[in-house]
Amino acid sequence: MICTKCQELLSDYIDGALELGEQVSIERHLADCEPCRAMRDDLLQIVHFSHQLPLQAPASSLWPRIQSDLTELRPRLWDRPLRWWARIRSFNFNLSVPQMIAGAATLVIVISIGVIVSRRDGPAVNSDTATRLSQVTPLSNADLQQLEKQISKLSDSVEQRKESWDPELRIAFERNLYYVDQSLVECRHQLNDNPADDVSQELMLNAYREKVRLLEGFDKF
Amino acid sequence: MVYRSNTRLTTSICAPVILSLFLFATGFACSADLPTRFERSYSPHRTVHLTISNVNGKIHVFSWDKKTITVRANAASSVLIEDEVVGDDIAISTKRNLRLGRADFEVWVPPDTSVIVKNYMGDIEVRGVNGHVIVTSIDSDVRLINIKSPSVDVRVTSGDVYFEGELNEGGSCSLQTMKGDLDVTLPAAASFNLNARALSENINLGTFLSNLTGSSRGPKGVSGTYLRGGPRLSLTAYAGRIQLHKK
Amino acid sequence: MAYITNILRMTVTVDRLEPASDLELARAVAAGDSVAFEKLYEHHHRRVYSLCLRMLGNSTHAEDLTQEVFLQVYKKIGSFRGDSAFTTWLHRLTVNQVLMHFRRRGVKLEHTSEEGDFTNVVETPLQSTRRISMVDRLALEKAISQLPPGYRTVFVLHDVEGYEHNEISGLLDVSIGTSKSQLHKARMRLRELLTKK
Repeated sequence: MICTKCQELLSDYIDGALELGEQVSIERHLADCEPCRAMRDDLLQIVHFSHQLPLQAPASSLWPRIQSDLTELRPRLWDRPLRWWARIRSFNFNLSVPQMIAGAATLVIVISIGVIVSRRDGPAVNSDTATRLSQVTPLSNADLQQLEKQISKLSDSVEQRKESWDPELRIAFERNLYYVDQSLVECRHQLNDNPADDVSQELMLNAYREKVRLLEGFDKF
Repeated sequence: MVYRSNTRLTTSICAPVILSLFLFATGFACSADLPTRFERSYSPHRTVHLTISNVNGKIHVFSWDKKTITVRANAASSVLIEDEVVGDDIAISTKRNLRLGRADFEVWVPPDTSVIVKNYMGDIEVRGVNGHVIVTSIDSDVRLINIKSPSVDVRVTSGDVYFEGELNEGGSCSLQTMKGDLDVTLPAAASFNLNARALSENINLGTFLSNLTGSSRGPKGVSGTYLRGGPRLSLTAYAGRIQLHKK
Repeated sequence: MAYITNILRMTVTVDRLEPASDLELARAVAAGDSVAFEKLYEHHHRRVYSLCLRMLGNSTHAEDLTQEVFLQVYKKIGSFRGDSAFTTWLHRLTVNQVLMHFRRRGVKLEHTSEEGDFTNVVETPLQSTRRISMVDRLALEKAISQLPPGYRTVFVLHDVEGYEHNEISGLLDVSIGTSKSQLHKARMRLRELLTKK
């Protein structure tokens, strides 16, 4: 075993997380290698003392700050219902067996009624909603052409103005245009692989709109 | 002889002129770097729609328990900041110019204010707002913290978007970034209809995944209903991750 | 008849897995007892603060976060049922608050950069026999605070607080391999920092 490999595994070795074979290899290497032994001993010290680090205390002013927060919270949290509940909990309940059986039976009846009623209503949303959420109108060639025409016009306008911009502004524009164009390239790849991919279609349409937004924004400079 | 006296005269006129021009240019150059301060306060009678439009600089919006709106900005002297009040709408904007001066805004608003933030470059933070929130920017990290808004709409071209808050019944929250991560923290008992799309990287719903019903999952998207459904949560990341966490 | 009736009367009890003091205090706090809350704070605030301090590396942020943690304890104590130790429940709540604090500030733990964090650290050559001297606790605390957030988080959770890698991977949403790798790098970086002196 070489030193680089040994040193990579030292943490796992110290933590007892190595297989027996690797453990033996490391121990053989350590027997003959002083630098690796030095490293092992240092890491052992670090781990040992980390386990024993003492607790620190915050400033004494922290508790008054917490108390002040609680004073603001208290009227909202400690409403009458909770005090009422606290009183209930302080009662000492002594129930006879017939009383417990009657209570359990009542609970079962109430739960059963609740389940029957909720099943009749059915789930508010089912997988149809999930499908609707991702359905989009397919992107037509006419839509694409329209967007590309708009982008081309804006790009020409921005190109003419760009030279007079502050360098920082120009860099920001070019960097963000690159990100948008990369997204469009990725969307096109996904659609080439699967033309019926609704999600990629929607993302591509959105990315075109973002490109228009970017160009319109910088066309104002 | 005449030549010598003319030279002396020319020198005695030109030197002060040149010196004055030099001092003027120096003064102008120095003043361009001096920051200027913008401060306005407004006392609306009703809930306000506040729009902050900037080009380069931070925009931080905080809610407070006063009924007034205060806007402060530290800006380079080349930056012109204007405000306009029309009815319940207040608009603060920096004028675009070729010199990319920086203006950093700090705004304090009543919690029910609706906030619209538009920027090109510079981080945006909105805290504690319960009105509508709209953020659009080109290159900004956006942090929305302690938000309980009926509608949230964030669109950035590059930057991370962090949202921590609650979703109102019947409301919507739409976060989008083309380059950057989306990180959303919601209460454990939140209900919502989810539509999450990540073009290149992972969507990690954390412990929300186990109760997601009616879900459709593909390599790039997850849609479904969490608990009772209701508010719409729409997350779109083109080159970045989407992560949901429970509070 | 009275004897039989007495046999049949039963009082409902709850098995307690928790030392009576913390569970009792938690129940009292849930019922609105602010003195009980102060006692809980007295018992546990140093542990919470120490964890926050070591994970954040900054005492002001650690105090703010400790304040936030105890506020969350106050709000959520009703959900503590005693089915785990109170210290475990509190610890997990503290770690979650720290991670939320990192997320709020845009700190990404798993993307800890290798370059540029310590431009002036000299890498100890593999063949060096140079050793750190007897570890000074203060120096170790200082070195921990100098670790990048990602390394520091995993190191504190594993070596200081005793979490296992599978628990850390769940908390930080990273793989077990990443957790182990970050831990090893943290230990190596600490060794560099402690050797530099």
